[in-house]
Amino acid sequence: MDIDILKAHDDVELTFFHYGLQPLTKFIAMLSVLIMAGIWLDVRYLVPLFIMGLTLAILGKAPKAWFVVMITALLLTWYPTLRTTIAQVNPEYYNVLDRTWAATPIATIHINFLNLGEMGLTYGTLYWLAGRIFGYMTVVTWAIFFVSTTPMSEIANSMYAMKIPYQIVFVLQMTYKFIPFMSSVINQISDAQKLRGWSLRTINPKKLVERALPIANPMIRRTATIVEQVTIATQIRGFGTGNPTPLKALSMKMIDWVLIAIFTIFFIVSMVGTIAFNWGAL
Amino acid sequence: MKTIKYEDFSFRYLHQKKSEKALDNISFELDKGMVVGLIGKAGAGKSTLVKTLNGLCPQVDIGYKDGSLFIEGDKVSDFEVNEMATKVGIVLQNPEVQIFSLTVHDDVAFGPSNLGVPADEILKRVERVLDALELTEFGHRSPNNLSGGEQQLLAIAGILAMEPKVLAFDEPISMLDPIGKEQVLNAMFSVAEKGDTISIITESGADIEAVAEFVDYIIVLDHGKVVASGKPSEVLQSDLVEEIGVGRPQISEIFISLKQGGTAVKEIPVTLTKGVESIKNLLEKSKIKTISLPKNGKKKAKREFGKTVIEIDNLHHVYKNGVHALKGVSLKIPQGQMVGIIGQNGSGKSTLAKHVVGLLKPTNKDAVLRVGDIDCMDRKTKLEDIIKVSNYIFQNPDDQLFAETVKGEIEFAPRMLEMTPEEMEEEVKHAMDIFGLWESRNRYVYGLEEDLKTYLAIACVLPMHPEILLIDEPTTGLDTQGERLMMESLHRLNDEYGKTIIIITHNMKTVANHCDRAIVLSKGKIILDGTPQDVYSQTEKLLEADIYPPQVTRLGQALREYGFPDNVLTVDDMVEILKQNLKQ
Repeated sequence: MDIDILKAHDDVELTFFHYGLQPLTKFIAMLSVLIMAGIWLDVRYLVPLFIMGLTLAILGKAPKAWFVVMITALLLTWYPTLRTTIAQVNPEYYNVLDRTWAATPIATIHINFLNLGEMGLTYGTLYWLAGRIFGYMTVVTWAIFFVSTTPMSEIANSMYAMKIPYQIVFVLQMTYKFIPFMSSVINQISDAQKLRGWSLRTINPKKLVERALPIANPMIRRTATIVEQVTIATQIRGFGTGNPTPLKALSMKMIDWVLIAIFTIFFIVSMVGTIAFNWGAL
Repeated sequence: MKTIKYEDFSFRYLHQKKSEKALDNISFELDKGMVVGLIGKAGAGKSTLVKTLNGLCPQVDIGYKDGSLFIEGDKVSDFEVNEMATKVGIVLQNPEVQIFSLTVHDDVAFGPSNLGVPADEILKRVERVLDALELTEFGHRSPNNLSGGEQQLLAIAGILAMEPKVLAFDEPISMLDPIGKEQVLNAMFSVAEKGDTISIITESGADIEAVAEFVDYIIVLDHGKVVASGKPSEVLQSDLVEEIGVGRPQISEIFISLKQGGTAVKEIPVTLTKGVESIKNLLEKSKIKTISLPKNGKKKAKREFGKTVIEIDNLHHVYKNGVHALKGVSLKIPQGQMVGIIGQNGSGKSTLAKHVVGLLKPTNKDAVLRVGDIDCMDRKTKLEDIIKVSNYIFQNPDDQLFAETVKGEIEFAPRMLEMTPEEMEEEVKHAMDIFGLWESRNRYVYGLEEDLKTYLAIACVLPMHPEILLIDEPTTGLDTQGERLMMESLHRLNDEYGKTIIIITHNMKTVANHCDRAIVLSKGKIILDGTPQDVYSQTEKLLEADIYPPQVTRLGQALREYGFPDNVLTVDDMVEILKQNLKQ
């Protein structure tokens, strides 16, 4: 999947969201939405944010596979989600919703063990569950929009332009660049060992450790070699000689300033509404 | 003032004994404008010498140094490595570790930006260098999407933009296809032509023909010592280069054989152009317009092969990222055949090999893929079954070696197959015998020489008794002598044990000299399949796969007007033709 993420920017048809907006603008928009999606529980507040994120991700030509991953991850977490959901039966948890309506039972049982009390499904718990699902999907769709429309090179450029120390940006860049490289090295090592009959399948912990060695040893050595070579190559290219010449300027357009203003106002108003008027609460 | 001056320079790494030296009392001077070939077999000290140029040895690769090295009058030991970047640029073998930025443009700007060059000057340099190396169209692309040759060109561009006075290339072409090699060497040469830099390129032997085309001075290293230096035509005709295991260009070999046979040869050519010219002169002197070909020439006895052991029909493979790596590949390989698969970087060679050993499955359901008696398309077929019939040795032995000793490494597969101790002992001994590893059985694996590591990687799969062995670049990193020994071992497996051997290689000479069959892949399709003679005679088709035939074949093709065959494969064959005609 790492390799797909890297390739995404090179293979897809570029949209306005790829080249028309500064990463900083997209980041501020995403951040303001993510914070609110993390705080709000009411599905009525979350659905518009989700629809906006989904629309932007689709317009930004985000790979379909990423949405499949999003849904799969959601389905895989069904058990902890359900466990938390059935624990939301108590009507006193609801301060905004009508408590009588929230307490309307669908299927509930009383558990005496450890005084757990009433558990199960009510209108309130289902409403809470819907909010939780849309909160998750809002976060993911906005993240997909940002990642799929913002090449790392643009993020790095913005960071350079914002005078973030070049050593930090360089390390980030290198990490991003070498993740797929290292993942291909690990795949290669694992393939080479599989061809010698290697398999990790065993329930014996001692054997498990022994069988990890054929992967761990070559991987550690390859990593050390690559780190050494990269160190040498950076020295050859004069890295660390002094302060490098800044080549990137943050060229904000009118649309960037307008969007930053809109999302900043959205964030401030939402926070005030949340604190003062219980916006987004249940 | 000389640009490079070594004075009684010696160096030994921390792990070396006092009696051993990576560089031993080196003294030479080089002037600007020279293109220098630094040749020597693997381990002769070439890379170490290159790393001393900017102080990487001893500052990063720590060790003990004696003597002095001056670059443009400055003593290198007085400067940090990154400070020397203004004067010395080094291009390493693997481009992937030399590219740091996320676009081609930014990567070229990385070096000069680190040196504090003014922004407008950096932009000018980037444009100039990209233009010189024909990379302008890739400026805003991700380096991940460039081919191997293009990535190496980008690594060179990054160094050129720093405008160093000394440019050193540490085996920059060994991993590239022939056209990629030529692209890189052309770039080097065009820089050197401007006359204000020294270019140094190291070479172990496999690409000696390509390097000899470009250099105007050669330094020969052996066991850390400079054992010869001078013009290529002088150095490459000496027996010394043969003795130390580097080998000579095929064209030089031909003329040396002719000279030894009594033909009056004035000068030993080292380049194809010179060779063609010299042969034309010899023919004209003998008033030969059309040559006659030997009737009872040494023809390779036609080998008999067994039943089909690999059957592939209409194999497609599309990777998850959408890359269509194999596009309807069909072939049959009989038991006992020695096959060479060639093609440009990214042509699908490794993808094909991974199908034959079960690491990948075709992405189309109507494909046929049979290995031995196993139907690989059957869902029930397991990798464990396939690897006992067909196995694959990756290019880099370090990807699979992990045990402490040679013996421990070979014991791994028998242990995985749960053999009895007696069976294991027998299998391990047998595998060691084939590659002469018995004496090294208790040696520490990571301390082995490159050739022994490759032998060990192959020996490790032998206890599984695969009848088919696929070997990726078995001769990369080896000098000419090492290559010969490696191929002899593979022939032994082929002749004595009946193994079907498939090698994937960029070395056209290896295929010409050792394979029964050559398969050329280009952009996921087989574009040529036949004997090396047949394949190498189709130059235009080969160009589609970025391939040139070996130098000796190209010599015959360049002399077609005189009746030379266009499929001469070996130096011996060409010498025989020439001797017969020049006698007349």
